[in-house]
Amino acid sequence: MPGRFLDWTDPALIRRAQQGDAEAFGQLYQAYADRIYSYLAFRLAPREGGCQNPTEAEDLAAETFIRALNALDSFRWQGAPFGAWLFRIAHNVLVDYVRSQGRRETVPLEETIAVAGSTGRAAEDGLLTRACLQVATAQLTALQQQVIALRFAAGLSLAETARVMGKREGAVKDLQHKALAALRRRLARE
Amino acid sequence: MAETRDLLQECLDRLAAGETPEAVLARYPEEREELAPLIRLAVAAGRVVPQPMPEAAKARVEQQIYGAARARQARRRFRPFAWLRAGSLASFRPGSFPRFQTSRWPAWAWRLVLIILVVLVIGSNGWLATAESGPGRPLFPLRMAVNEARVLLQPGPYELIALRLAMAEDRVADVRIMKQRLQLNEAAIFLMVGETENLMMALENFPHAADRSMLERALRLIQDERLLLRELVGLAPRERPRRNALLFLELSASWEPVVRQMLNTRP
Repeated sequence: MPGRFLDWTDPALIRRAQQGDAEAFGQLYQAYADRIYSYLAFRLAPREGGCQNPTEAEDLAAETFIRALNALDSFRWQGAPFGAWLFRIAHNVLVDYVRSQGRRETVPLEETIAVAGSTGRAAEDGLLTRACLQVATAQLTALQQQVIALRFAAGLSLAETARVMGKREGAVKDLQHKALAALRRRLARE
Repeated sequence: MAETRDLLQECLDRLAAGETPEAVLARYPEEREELAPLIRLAVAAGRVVPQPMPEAAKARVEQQIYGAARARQARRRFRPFAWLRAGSLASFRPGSFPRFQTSRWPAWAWRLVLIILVVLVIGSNGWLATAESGPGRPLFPLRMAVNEARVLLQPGPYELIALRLAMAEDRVADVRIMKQRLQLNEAAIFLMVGETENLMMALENFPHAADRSMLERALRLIQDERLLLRELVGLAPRERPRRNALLFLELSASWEPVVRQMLNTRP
């Protein structure tokens, strides 16, 4: 149900996981794995030729959960739910990864679009390929990229996105509008 | 601007509730031209992402997570410094440690314990590096305890790997010195191999945290250690220690390929 995904986590389950219960942590993994993976897969820009290493997002998802496990004792219910805390870890894992790889060479947008055979209008009509959208998104500001990935790739609600990003809902609404408009301009220009 | 952003959010809420893009846009005829491309992009963004995670990948990652969770479960059976990590220094409130009965200890006693520990951990580099802190020496257990406290106090994976690497290098240096002094004992060799194994676990748990120079140091360490182990096989006075050294050599054979593979992914 929209708006409720991050709030479902039972505090008792977190406490059990904090006390070292591997099964409890396994349940947390099952609950969040898909969305964390989608967030990471979307944020990883494709390599040359529009291809993406399929195991990259999996490795980063694994590292997110292992970091969360190692830092579980430091998690406290102070406003932000467990899911928001987990998405912040995923974001930090991604930032560390991109830094460790150096500045990745991304394919120019016009090249990706040419390969995919779609145009700006086609993108708006729903014919957009993953590579086109990712390359275009990678050219937005860091906050705009994050809001697109959280809202549409991970499927979080506006309120949940605000919690993960530590911003007010109004600010996220504004950011979301600007991000989509910028994305449209990028794709329409080509 | 403010109005469009609110209308856009209304449209996205309706889409999330199951309405089709056309049905949603039909509600806003005047703003349709402005909203339509944004709505279509939002829908497209949701479609191009692979969700759910492929089952095989999910199972593979789950195995890794369970392995780490079980290792953590085992470590928690004995955690002399657990209260430090659980409360964390930043949120230190005397008398309010989450899993530690403090009611019989006055607040000043906790502060004193904390100060002594911090001084011990921070100020121990010099005197714990003396000859008296080597394996088999009186200060050695204290050095190991201080090292473990340092591991728990590391703020992130990069610092943890850096510390594990330095500790593994120290263990190799210890064994080298003992070998020169003809004072070798098997416990020191066990500790050396164990410390490098700890380093490997840290590298595997955080495969993207170490930078290139760190991985190159780890590679040199592994090569030195395996060379040392080969020498120890020849020096072992009896069959049992010789077999142990051979076993360590076999165990450590997997280290170098792992580090080399990580090095290959670094620019």
